[in-house]
Amino acid sequence: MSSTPLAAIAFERDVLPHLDLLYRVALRLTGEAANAEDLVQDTVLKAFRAWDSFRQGTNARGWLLTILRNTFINEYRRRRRTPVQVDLDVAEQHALIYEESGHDPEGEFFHALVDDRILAAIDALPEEFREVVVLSDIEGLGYANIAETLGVPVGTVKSRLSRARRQLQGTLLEYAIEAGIVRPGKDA
Amino acid sequence: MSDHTLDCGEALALLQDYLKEELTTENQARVASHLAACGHCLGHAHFERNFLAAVERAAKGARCPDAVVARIRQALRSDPPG
Repeated sequence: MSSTPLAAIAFERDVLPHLDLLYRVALRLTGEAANAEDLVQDTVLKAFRAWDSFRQGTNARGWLLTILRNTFINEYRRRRRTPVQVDLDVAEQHALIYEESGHDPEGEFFHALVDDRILAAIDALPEEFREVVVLSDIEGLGYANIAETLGVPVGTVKSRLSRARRQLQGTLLEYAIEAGIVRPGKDA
Repeated sequence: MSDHTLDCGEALALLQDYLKEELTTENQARVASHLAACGHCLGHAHFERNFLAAVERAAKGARCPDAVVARIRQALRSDPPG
């Protein structure tokens, strides 16, 4: 107990700066603010209890993400209502997207979509796609860090990312067409 | 691949990694010079960039609520490590 105050200070210094990131990842994993809040709190308290096993000066962010993910899988995953999951072939999807976005081939329509639509599309991805999109395209982690956090090879991260983006682009394009932001198809 | 100019197929295959700056310095430069010379592939790059920017913009704003931060700080004080 004598070292407790110092340990607590070090913990707060190294861990609390990552709360926003943990919360954003938790939000996309659980799909709900209330569960995300609980997941972040559980994660931080678990990390605190395991603080002795963390090697100071190493990657606290990756360590925390691993705890968060394990906690999600073990205690939260079953609470999530899983939406319909589609996984078209990547090449097929890719061709489709470019064909359908014929009037907007550079994807300006993405900027016209409201945030909630984009978040809903991310949340509808299968979990293994959703987590790579969150870590890479929202939080900006590199392939190697993501691979380490998820415990999979870098090649797996890359192929999941590629499929996840295709699927997400397809969903967003559908939204954009429905909303009249994009006229589908190529010029005659 | 040293001293080799990329064709469109090769450039597009490397595009995702290029945008994430995950290629070697050499290949980053190779994709960049292909994009500078090829409007078709540059269009693909714009499409992917616009997509990535929209995803980040939609999700990056969320902050851990103050009430949760306060709850966590309080729990840390009443739950010493070890």
